[in-house]
Amino acid sequence: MSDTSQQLYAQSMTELAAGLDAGEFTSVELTRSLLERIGELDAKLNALVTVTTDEALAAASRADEARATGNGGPLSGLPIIHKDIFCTRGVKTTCGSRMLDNFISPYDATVVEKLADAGAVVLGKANMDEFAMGSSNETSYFGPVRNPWDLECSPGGSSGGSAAAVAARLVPAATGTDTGGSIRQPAALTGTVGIKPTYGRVSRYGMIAFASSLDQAGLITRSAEDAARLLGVMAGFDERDSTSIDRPVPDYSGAINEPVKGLRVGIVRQHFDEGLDPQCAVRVKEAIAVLESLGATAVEVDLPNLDLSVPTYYVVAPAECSSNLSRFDGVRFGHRAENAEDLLDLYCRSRGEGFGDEVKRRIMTGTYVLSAGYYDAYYLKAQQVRHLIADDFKKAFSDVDVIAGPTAPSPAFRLGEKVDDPITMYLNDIYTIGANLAGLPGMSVPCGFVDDLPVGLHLVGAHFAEETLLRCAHQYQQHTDWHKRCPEGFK
Amino acid sequence: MPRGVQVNAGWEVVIGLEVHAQLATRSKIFSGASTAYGAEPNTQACLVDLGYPGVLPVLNEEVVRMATMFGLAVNATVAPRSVFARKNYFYPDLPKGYQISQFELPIVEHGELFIADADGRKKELALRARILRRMRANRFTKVSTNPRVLI
Repeated sequence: MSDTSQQLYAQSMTELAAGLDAGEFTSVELTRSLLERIGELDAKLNALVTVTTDEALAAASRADEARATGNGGPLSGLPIIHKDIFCTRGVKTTCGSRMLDNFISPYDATVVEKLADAGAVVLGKANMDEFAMGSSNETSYFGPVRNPWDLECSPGGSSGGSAAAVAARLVPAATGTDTGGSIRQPAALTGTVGIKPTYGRVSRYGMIAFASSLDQAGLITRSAEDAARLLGVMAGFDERDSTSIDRPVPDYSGAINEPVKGLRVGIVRQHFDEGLDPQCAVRVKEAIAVLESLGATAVEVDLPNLDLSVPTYYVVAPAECSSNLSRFDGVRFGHRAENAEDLLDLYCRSRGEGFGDEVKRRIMTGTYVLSAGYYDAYYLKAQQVRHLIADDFKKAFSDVDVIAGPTAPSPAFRLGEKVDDPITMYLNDIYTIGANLAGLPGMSVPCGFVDDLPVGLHLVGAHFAEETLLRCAHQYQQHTDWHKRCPEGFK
Repeated sequence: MPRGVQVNAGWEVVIGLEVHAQLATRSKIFSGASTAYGAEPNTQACLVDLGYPGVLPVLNEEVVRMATMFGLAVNATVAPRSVFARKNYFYPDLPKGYQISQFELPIVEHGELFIADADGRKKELALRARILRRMRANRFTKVSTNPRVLI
C-alpha cells in the first residue's frame, strides 16, 4: 500500500471530502485503496458479509465525473458500508440469517437511496446479529464479528460488523440500526461514535423490521462531525414510512460548533449503582467532568422506572418480532425447505431451518405474550410500563438538556462468554433500551479505555434533540482524542 | 314460517350478516398499486402487497374518506381516532403472515338501515335492520381477479 492510501484510511469523512475537493486524490483511488484494505484485513474481523467491488468502483467513477462537472452531492465519492438489514437493489440482503442467504433485494431502502443520491460510495454490506437480535454479533449465520481491539472479544451487536469495520479503519462510516442499543453498544465496545436518532427522524422503509415501534436507523462513525454530516442526508420525512416525521432537518454540521457552556447535563443516580464495572464508571465520570470543564452543569436526575426497561423491552420487542417475521414462510422469498410433504411441513421446516436459536426464542416468547389470555397480562402491561418510562424521561428533560451516563455495563466481553446465557446478554442493553422505549435520540462517544478496551459515554436527549447530542459529542471530541486511537494491527 | 322450524314464545330470531362491500378506490388500501378490474393476473401487485422484507404499508386517504362517507350515510358513529391491528396466521395467500384489520377502534360503528319487505305495501311488516355494528377495513392481499379494496 502506498503512503497516500495509508493516510486515506485513517481520515475522517470530513478530511476525505476536503481531499477530494482539493483534487489530492480521486474517489476511484480512495475506493480502490479501501477495497484493498478490506481484502487484506477483514479476514481477521468478519465484519463484511458482502463486498460490492464492481458497484463501488462504478459509483466512485460516477462521483468523480459529477465532481469534475460541479454536480457532486454532499457525500460525493465518500465511502460507506450498509448494515445488511438495509435492502440494496441487486445486492444480497441477508439480515445475518440463513433465511435470507439467497435474497437479492429488488429495491433500495430509503436510507440507501438517500445516501446514494448524495454521492456516497457503498463498499459492501456489514455482518450483524441475525435479524438484529443479539448484543454480541454471535447470532449471525455468517459467524461472529471480532473486535479489532481484541480479536478474542465481541464487538457488541447487533450492528457489530458496522462498528468493527469503522473501528478498524476499513471504512470511515457505516449505517446501523438500533432497536434496544444495537448501534450504541457496539459503538461503545469498539471505540466508535454511534447515533440512534429520534424514532421517526429517519425512514424505516426498506430496513427489515425487527420491532417496528422501536427500530430506528442511524450511524456509526469515528467522529461526531462525520455523524452530523451523514445524518443531515439520512434524516427527513418519507411518504413511504407513515411513522417518519414531517419536520425540517436542521443543519447538524453547523449546530455542532456551538459551545456547551450553560448546557444542563443530567446524571442518573441509578446508572452508577451495582451492575456497572467500577473502572467504566470512572471513565464515564471523567468524561462528564470534561463537559463540566467546558461550562456544562451536571445535575442529578431520577429515572425511577429504569430497572423495568429490560423486562419491558423483552416483552414488546419479541411480540413485534413474532409478527414481523411471519412473512418468512418459505413461500415467496428466502429459504425454502426441500421436499415438503404438505403446507404445514413447508412452513415448519423452512422456518425451522432458516432461523437460528435466538430468533426462534424471541418468536416463541413473542407469540406467547400476544396469545389470547396472556395479551393483557404481558403485552398490554408492558405498553403501560413503557409509558411510565417515557414519562420519567419527559420529567427529566424538563430540567436538563441531555442525560449522560455509561453506554454499556462493561467493556467488550469475550466471544462465547455470554452466548449461552440470554439473560446476562440482555442486561448488556440496560442503559440503552430506555431511549428506544421512549423514542428518544441516543448516542455513544468513546471516552477512554479499561484494560486496553474502549469505553463509551452515553448521551440521551429529548425528542429531536440530535443537535444537542452531536454538539455535546463534538465539543467533547475537540478536547479529547479517544476517538482518534486506532487498534494495534489496524494502524 | 318454514317447515320444521319452531320458535318458542319469548324468543326473537336475530340474524347477523357479515357483508363485505368494496370501496371504489383507484389504488389499494395500503399501497399505490392499481385496483383496475379485469387486468392480467399479477400485474397489479407491488412489493408492499407482496410483503417483501422491509416494506411498509401506507394507508390510502381515499379509503378513509369513503368509509367516513359510508358511515355518515348509514347514520353511524365515525371514530375520531381509529386503530388498525394485525391478525396473525399463516396461509399461502397471506404474504406477511398477518392481515391488517380493525378490532378495538373501528372507523365506523353503530350504523343502521331501514328496509321494507318485498311487498312494500304492507308497511306494518317493514323490518328495521341494524346491518352495521362494526366496519372492518380488511386487507385482502391474495392475488385475486378483483383486487379491490374491501371493507
